[in-house]
Amino acid sequence: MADAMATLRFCAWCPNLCRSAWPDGAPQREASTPSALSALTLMLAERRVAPDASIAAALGDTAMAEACRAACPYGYDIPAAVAAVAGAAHAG
Amino acid sequence: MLPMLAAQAASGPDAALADALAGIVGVANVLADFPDRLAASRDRAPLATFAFRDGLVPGVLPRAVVRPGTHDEVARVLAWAHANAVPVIPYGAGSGVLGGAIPLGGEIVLDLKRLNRLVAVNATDGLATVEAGMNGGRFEAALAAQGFTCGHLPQSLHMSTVGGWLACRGAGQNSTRFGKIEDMVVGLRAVLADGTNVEVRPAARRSTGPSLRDVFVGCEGTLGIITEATLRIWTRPEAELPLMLSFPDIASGLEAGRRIMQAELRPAVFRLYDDTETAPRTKDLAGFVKGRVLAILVFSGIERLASLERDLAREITDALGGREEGDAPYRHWLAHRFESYSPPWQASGHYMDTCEITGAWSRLVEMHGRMREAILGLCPGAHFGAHWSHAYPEGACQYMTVRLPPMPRADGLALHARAWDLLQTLTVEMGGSIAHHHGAGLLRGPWMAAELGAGGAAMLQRIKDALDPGNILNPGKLGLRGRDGAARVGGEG
Repeated sequence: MADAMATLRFCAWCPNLCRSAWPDGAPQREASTPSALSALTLMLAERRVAPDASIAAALGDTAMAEACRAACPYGYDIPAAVAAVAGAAHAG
Repeated sequence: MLPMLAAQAASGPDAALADALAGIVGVANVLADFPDRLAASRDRAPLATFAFRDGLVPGVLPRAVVRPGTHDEVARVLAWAHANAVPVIPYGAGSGVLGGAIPLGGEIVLDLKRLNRLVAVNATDGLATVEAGMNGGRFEAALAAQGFTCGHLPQSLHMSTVGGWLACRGAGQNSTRFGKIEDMVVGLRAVLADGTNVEVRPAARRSTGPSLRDVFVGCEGTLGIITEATLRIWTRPEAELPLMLSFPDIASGLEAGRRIMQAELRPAVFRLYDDTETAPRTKDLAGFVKGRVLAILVFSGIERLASLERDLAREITDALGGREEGDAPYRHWLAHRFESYSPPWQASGHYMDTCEITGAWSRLVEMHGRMREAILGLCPGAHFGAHWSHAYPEGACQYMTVRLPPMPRADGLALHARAWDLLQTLTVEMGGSIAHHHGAGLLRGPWMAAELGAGGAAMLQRIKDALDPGNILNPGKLGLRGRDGAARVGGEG
């Protein structure tokens, strides 16, 4: 969990260097970028936002983060970190 | 700044607004849920990062994120916004670092990333027409597939959009050869605040009064919204020849830069690092003499011409104590030139920011010394490093990194604000420009009058008032008048 939190804390302040891996034809939802997902997950874990349906839906939309994973210059797996931390936050 | 929990609790749906906008762009392209609004409440201004990491919204949440798919939809959204007095912030990839995309009160965010087509490549005239929301890295890759380059290669290449380059009047790392974005824009399409369409037809040059193109390039969405641009493109260079050098000190390195530029040589890349930024780049370089400073030059184009330019530059640098070094720093720079150095520092609670200014060759050594002294005097534990790039016959960009150690938030924000004030005030005092290529956004507003002069600032405001009488286009940015009740962002003012 500590590793996943550290990953999210890095990605949340990264300006989405991996963004160009997302295909042109697919609409980009800013909330689905790896950095936005990481920030939202962090905020949830730190209880700075309250869990609700819209947050659950946003954190479940990992298609863009999946597509960008291979392009992360730092080698992070953001979908896995989001799943680990968000899952724990919801469970807790 | 509002705690996110409070912003979330107050983020009820604005059904009437969403319905009206859905009638223009479709229901799927109006995003009004809290996560969408939270993601669009920041750009990459470090001040926004400082807020986010403490669970605060930097300004306010936008009312909705709207995603038009065509130029016509942009025009219709703006006509609606104008009629209903709803402010609008254009948004590309949100990579700006001066808070230009931070909502301050009642805005909708106009996300332009569905406008992402490479419309046409005209190989004969050397032009590419591209929509504003296309990702920069994908644009350059699409050109490369046809044997071309735009030549605009900012560090933010893969995390920015073409429209963002124009909006903030950006510059790429190869700008010393290819020019800045304003040198590349040959035509554009834009929409004014009331939905009026403006087209600057592509032409190599015209003599028909003031350039309308330049009303939009650099306006950061305050005077109109650019939807498409026609840019100059180039055949990809046959050769890229590095020249890795060290100099006894920054004065000799800067003098070399001056002489190279005034000799009409055109290196694609000119980068000179101060001692602080030299150290990490040369720590593994065999034989590098401590105390010397590093320079990376690259000459590109037709191989014979690039080689000749490199030889001529070498003659200049030899006379100034330049010494050739191994190419490991060049290879490292090539491998990492589009990455960001800030995430680990922001993640560990530092207050890290960058400030790029323009200085004359005659003042750069003094600028560096006085600015370093000012920052270290302000906070002895701070990191201050600088490099010079984007060279001209008259001067160069001085790009500074300031990193304050972790400390209580109020103290960090106060020191951060003071650091900005010192750097910007000293820049004006020494005859430079307060912004080389990051734009002004929100955070440079307090120094815009000093930059433009009282008459110039008043003129810019009059232009704004004439083009956007309702003040709906990205209000409160570029030092222009904000709307009543606008939020204040920490460090502003």
